[in-house]
Amino acid sequence: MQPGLTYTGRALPEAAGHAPCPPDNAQTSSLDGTAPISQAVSVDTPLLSVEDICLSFGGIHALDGVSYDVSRGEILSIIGPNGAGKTSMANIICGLYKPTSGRIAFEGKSRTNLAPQSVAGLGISRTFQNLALFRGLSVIENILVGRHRHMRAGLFGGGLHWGFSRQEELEHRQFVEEIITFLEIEDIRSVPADTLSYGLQKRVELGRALAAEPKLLMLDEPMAGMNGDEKLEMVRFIADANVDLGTTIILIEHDMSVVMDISDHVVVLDHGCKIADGTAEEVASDDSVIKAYMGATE
Amino acid sequence: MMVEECFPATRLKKDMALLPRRIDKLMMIAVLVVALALPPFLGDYWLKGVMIPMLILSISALGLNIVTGFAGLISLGQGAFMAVGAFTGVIAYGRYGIPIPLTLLIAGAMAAAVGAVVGAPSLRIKGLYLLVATLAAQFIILWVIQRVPWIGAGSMVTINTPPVFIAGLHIDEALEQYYFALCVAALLTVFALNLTRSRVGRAWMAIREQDVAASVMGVSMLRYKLMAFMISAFYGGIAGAMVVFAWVGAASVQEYDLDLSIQLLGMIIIGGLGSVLGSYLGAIFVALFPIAISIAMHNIYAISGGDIVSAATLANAEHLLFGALIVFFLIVEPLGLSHLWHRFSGSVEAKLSRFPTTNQTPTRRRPM
Amino acid sequence: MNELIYAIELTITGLLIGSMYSLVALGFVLIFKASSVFNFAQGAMTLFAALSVVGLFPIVGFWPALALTIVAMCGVAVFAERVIFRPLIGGAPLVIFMATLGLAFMLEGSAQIIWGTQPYGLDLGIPIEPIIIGGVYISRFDLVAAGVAGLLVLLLVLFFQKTKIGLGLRAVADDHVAAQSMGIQLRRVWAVAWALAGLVALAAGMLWGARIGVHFAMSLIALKALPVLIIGGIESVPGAIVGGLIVGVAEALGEGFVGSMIGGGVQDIMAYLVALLFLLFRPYGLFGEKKIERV
Repeated sequence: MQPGLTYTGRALPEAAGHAPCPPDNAQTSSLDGTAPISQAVSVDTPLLSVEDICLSFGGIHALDGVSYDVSRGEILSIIGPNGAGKTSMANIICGLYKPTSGRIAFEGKSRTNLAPQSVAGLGISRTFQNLALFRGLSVIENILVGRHRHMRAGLFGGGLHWGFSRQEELEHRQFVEEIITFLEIEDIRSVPADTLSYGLQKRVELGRALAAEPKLLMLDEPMAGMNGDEKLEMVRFIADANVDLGTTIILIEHDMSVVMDISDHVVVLDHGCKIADGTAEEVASDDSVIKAYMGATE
Repeated sequence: MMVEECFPATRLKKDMALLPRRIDKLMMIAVLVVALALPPFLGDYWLKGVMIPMLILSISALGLNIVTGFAGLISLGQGAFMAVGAFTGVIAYGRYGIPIPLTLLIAGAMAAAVGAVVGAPSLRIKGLYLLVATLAAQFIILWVIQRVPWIGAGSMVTINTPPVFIAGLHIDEALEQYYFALCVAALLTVFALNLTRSRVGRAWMAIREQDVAASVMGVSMLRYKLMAFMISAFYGGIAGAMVVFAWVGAASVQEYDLDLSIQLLGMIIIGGLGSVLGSYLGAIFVALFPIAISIAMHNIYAISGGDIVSAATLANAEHLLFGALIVFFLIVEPLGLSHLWHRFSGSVEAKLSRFPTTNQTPTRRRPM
Repeated sequence: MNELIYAIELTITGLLIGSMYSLVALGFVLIFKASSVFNFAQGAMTLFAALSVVGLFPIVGFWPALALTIVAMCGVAVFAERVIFRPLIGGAPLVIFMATLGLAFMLEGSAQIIWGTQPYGLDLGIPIEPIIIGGVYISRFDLVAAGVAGLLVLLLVLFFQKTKIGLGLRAVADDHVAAQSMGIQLRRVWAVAWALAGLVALAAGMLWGARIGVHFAMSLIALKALPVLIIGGIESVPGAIVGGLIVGVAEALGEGFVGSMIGGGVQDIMAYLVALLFLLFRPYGLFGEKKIERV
């Protein structure tokens, strides 16, 4: 089920400008970009397939031919030093950036170049590296926006607030209360988001993303800037979301040690290229990872 | 299940209530009583000069607050949308004899259609660029109204409405016009209050606060930005038609110039961006403001022994002070008068209630 | 053939008037580059300056009136920077923009309280009889005014590129934090930018005042600098110049060829129509750069 280690064995060039990544042998079969994904949709189909994604801004390659699969129910961690292209990867998956080339498939269907709100409609949700809460709205309202894609009330339903739309509002508020209980933030439920501490804001953002009942949840550095206790709590919520709610999770982290315990599968990026892909143990013992990644941060 | 015990449906219903706090309910009742009972004792001067324009401007400001205060899209074209509504109304009723209630809806719908065109660029452009687009709309709409012969406005020409009948009732006394405006304003206010607390209103506020996060949560920028512009123009259009049918009795282009658009923007800044209540407070403030200035200026001149103040000086003093107030509120109280009310009523509510308030109205910091 | 001469005539007139739009637009660019403020009050500053000159003229004579107005414009600049914009630093751009709306009302109101609302004429002694070159009529006034406007535009460009303060302005526009760390004092730069914008407003106010008279409609003319900026690209000095010329020509041609068919007044909206076209097809203007938004 899990792709094997596809360590490319590339030596990092010393110079700042980086050479194109060598081809990734494991993925060459579907690289022509036109062939449909051959597998039928089945349990074995990866939830998300990222194929040979390239992204460049004005000549700078942020991502260069990155491919990996995300299996249903797993926690995949994408790690790498600053500037490795991790957040760009997340932005491409959720439709904020258009990849220069390459494809994204979700549940076996090609989903490249969708608008962000359409990606959300597929059941992909995320949090942001730098907080992106709706600052003036209360915690409840923030999480209710997460329910947006499951609700139907429109202009007249909302304006008249009668019958169906009233009932719908009530049901979804009920759901939001469950999320609030799950994340243990009952006492701040009606507080404006921008008055909360950093750690709590991160937790509310997780709540907002979970409220969308995503099939795939992307967390962009959810533990950045937290103290030890807060980190432990966040790890617990992530693990619970994965186990209890059955959510597939992509965890983007700068700090390798944080993700080792909870990840089923780790992808390592460096300078826009994938340099390793495997279980936490495999990746941790990989020479190039130690050299390129650990060496860069310590 | 635990959740059920912690959050019984009654509490959720309370969260959803139109006026969650007791003090808001009391205040609402008081305002309604005054609004219904006081006007018969006011003369035509107060009704025509203050109360009716206040209600009509409130409707328009409410619309502008939806697009600017809630959705965070600045618009300098609300005056032109009112013009669209005014001329659509006067043509629909005067030329084709369509009943007034339907005419109001048509006026609103026409303005909304124009609003959709004006709002269309908002998908690609933001902030200051959008501002120039709405400024362009303000000028172009008025220009077109003056130039299309079918409308019959010509340059500087006004079109009078025939006598206004609603279901056989002749609305021509100031008091009748006032109650008519009150009904329309009340209906539109309840609609706006509901809407801004619904899924749609939350989508607007999400776009205002963090458009990228909003789109990632599935909020369609296209749909909700256009919807905000259309609803805003709809309210403006109805307000414009009400100017014709419940206040002036005629539609004339020069009433709806850029100054009106800026004034409406000033109203919602002073009253409170992103607050339905604030739209009213701003309009009340602006309606009473010239009277206060005029009284103050006359007193100053009387004391200093000067001549009678000229109308032009008064208008310019108003202009100057209105500008100063906009700046003052932006710096000192960016949430406007409505926030002052929330602060005051919050402390009263806390004293009234033996239990701490469970549902405080979310305070918004910088609204944009 | 007559049509062609007419078109040439209109184009030349348009370019001459366009240079006066460029001048007004540069006032906006100055402030925008220094403080990222989209200054709606630039039009009101133009009116304020022009009214002060024509109001003081009969009392103290021309040159003292000019000097006093320059002092007044610097006063406005300091007031705007201290009282209005310093407390709003770091606020949302739209909030700061709305503050400039307030400032515009304050300037218009106070100028007209002091000097009254009646229109003034302003005679700068520029001859009005046209000159004829190869059958093409050119207004001598427009020629001189365009010359003055062009000269001022040139001076401003030189100021941006050669002087220390001008370079400081450009550095601030590129990156506030970096500029500050380089020892450039933001506040002083901002005050200078506002004062310069005030002087530009004065020059524009006098040129426009001499052409159409000094009255309330002047702030509407100055407001046309906003579409000019959209066409050129908000932060761009060459954009403001080219945008102004485009608007001038579009207005002259529109009025000359289309206006006669529909009863005139095309020049009132031409700038906005052209700006809308740009917003639809090239939203960041001729010289503006599309910015990639970081998430």
